[in-house]
Amino acid sequence: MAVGLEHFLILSAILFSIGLYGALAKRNAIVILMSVELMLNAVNISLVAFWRYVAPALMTGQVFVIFVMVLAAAEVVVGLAIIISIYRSRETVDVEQIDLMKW
Amino acid sequence: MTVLQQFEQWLLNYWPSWAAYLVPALIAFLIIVVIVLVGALLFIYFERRFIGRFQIRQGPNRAGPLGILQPVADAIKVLIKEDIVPIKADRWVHYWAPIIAFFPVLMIFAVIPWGQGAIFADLNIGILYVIAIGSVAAIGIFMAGWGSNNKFSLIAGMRTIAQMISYEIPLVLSIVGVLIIAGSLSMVSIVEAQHVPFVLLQPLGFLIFFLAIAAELNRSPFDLLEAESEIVSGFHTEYSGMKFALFYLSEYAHAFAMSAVAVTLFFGGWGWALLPGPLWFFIKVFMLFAIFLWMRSTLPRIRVDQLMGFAWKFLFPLALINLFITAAEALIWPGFPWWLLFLNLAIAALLIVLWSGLFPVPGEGVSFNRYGRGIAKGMALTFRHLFRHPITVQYPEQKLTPAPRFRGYQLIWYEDQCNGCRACVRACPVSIIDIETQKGEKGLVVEKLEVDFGRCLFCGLCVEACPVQALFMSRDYEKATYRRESLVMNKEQFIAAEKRRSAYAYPDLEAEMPPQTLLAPPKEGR
Amino acid sequence: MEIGITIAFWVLAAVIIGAALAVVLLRNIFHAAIFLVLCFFTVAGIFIILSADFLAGAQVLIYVGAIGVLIIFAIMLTRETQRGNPSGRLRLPALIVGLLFLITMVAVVVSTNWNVVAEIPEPTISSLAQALFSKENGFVLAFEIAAVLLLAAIIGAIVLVREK
Repeated sequence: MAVGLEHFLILSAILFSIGLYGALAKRNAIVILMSVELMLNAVNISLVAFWRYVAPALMTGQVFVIFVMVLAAAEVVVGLAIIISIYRSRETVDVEQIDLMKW
Repeated sequence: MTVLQQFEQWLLNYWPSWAAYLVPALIAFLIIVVIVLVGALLFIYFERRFIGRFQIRQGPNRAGPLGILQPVADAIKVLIKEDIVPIKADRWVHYWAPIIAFFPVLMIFAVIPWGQGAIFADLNIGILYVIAIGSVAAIGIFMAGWGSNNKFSLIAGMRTIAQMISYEIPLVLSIVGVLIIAGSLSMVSIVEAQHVPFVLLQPLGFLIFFLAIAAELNRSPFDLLEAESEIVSGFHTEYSGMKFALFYLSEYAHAFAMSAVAVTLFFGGWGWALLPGPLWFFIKVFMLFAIFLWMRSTLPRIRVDQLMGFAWKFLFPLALINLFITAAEALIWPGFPWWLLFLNLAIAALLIVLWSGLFPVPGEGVSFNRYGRGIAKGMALTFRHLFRHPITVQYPEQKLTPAPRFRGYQLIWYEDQCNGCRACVRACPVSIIDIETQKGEKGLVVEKLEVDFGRCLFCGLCVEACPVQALFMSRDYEKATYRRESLVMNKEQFIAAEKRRSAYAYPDLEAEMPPQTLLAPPKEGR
Repeated sequence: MEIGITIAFWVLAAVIIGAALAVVLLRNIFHAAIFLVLCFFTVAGIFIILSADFLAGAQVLIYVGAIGVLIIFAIMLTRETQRGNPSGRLRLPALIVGLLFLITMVAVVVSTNWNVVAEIPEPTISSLAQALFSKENGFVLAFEIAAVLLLAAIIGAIVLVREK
């Protein structure tokens, strides 16, 4: 059977939910960041699939993907900087132990 | 329409479509793998011979005529070595690291145009593909550093990654300068857009590109982190056998790939008539690689902090300004006439002079003598060395004569002169001479003479102590034996030995010695 | 060529899902990072199937070359090899939420009638450049703001991590 739009969208949904599970259920802050990257990649796949199958003449889909990649890069940079500076003062990256702002 | 696509179209008349696309792709893939491996072997051979000539010596010349089989001998040696994995290393990471470091390099060759229409895949995004795949090799190097369970490998791996990603930025910016002139990302269009070779339109861009790929390939003078004498060989310390062969091969294949990319971007690819295209291409690639070798044999290594400062403070701003100026020229003179070369050279010289103000030598300010004229004189010297006759001695076919007063191995004993006085036994600081005498007709006769040359210092005190000139030092130096017991010489061996005397402690013998050629002091005024 | 694209899609989809599961479930963080890099690579493959060639190159360059290396660096610098990659307290609720989300999305995708256009786009780079930079309906302002955003991210990261 030929590969259609639904196949790419279901792949994107599976990838997104795996990333969602990782971001909610893991304790290591870097693994949470990696799961967020998985979610962003899933979104990129579905954006490009929509561009290709629904509106190929209009380049907006690809432009959107470029901006999502730029933002993902910026977010990873700042996120990892925060994690490293937390590691320097607390010696841990376990998010269940970094709870000083909670009651 | 590349040659491969024409072949596929022709095959579509005879075979089903899946075979007509798969078989030519496999054949072309095999051809490219053969070109890469043979090219890497040739580069290894040329590197060792040329660096030898730059250093007034011959390179390896024992394996095959002119040493052609030396890389083959290297390959066989590396294949039959034992593959050692450190005990606590992560086996999986240790195994996959050389593979991940090698395959991106092989993938770069898919978009290199060897001649007119001779390219494996004329991608629309050719040069972006090269840059993207080139940055994947960094992951393999990091895995190598991590998977070795060795702190020095880890530190060296992290520093190597820092070096590679720092130099990627000036690399990409200098490529974008070329793309502004060429107007397309596809490698074939870049070659066809070169009415003049782009090195003339972008001298600063080529300089930045050249230095950036020298740093990406970890070649001298940027090879602090993986040279064998530094930080115990860096990230590939713990690798042996086939895995090390993959790292070694990937280094030279990467040099081949980036030289080919530089030729495509800046030197006109396969262009110019009179010789077939691929031949011109290979000649240009080898000349560019020869410039890398020239740099390697002349310049010392730079330190890690100097390396990073060079990338971020010097190359990166210059690359940005080069991009800006190219964009301005694209607006003002869209046809890019050839005389822009002079304008670009003037701007490049001005920028380099301005930016070297950032690197003052303490005590001297900006030192043109050290960096400008010094480097030029050094490179001119090694270039002149190329044309001198090499001073290599083909030992053991050619042997040089040692100095006249050479204190060689083995004493020379004249039995008729010796009077058994045992002055030599008393003079020896390590007490290796053993003499037993008997009363004869005219004095003492030596019955037993044993000298243990395993402990001899070759100090010559026994020769100086002898009052009757019965002992001499010899000019021999090749007396290795297989067993330590055979190092002890007795009286019969002394009598039967070949007596080649040296003039130590006998100044009147000096005149009849042959002139010294081994380690001869240099002639004045050379 | 349809059969080629179909085989490629199924192989790549299997690799992506396997790599994503490995990222989330493996005990050893470094192996998880390597599988993340594999996942990025195969997503670039998916972009090529969808004829977005520039995006595939950009994906490899940005994600594998930069973000992958950055994540591996961060794992080096914050090593907690004793604990590795454990699951938190919210494991079961997260699983339920993930499954619910997945089922909802699949139901929506399968039951919607998409207006699929059959034409294949022409070479994309020049059209992409025009969409980004043209005067009438280009995204020039967003492009420049993205550049300023990246600068702010770089400066912020340097300030956060530098030694006092």
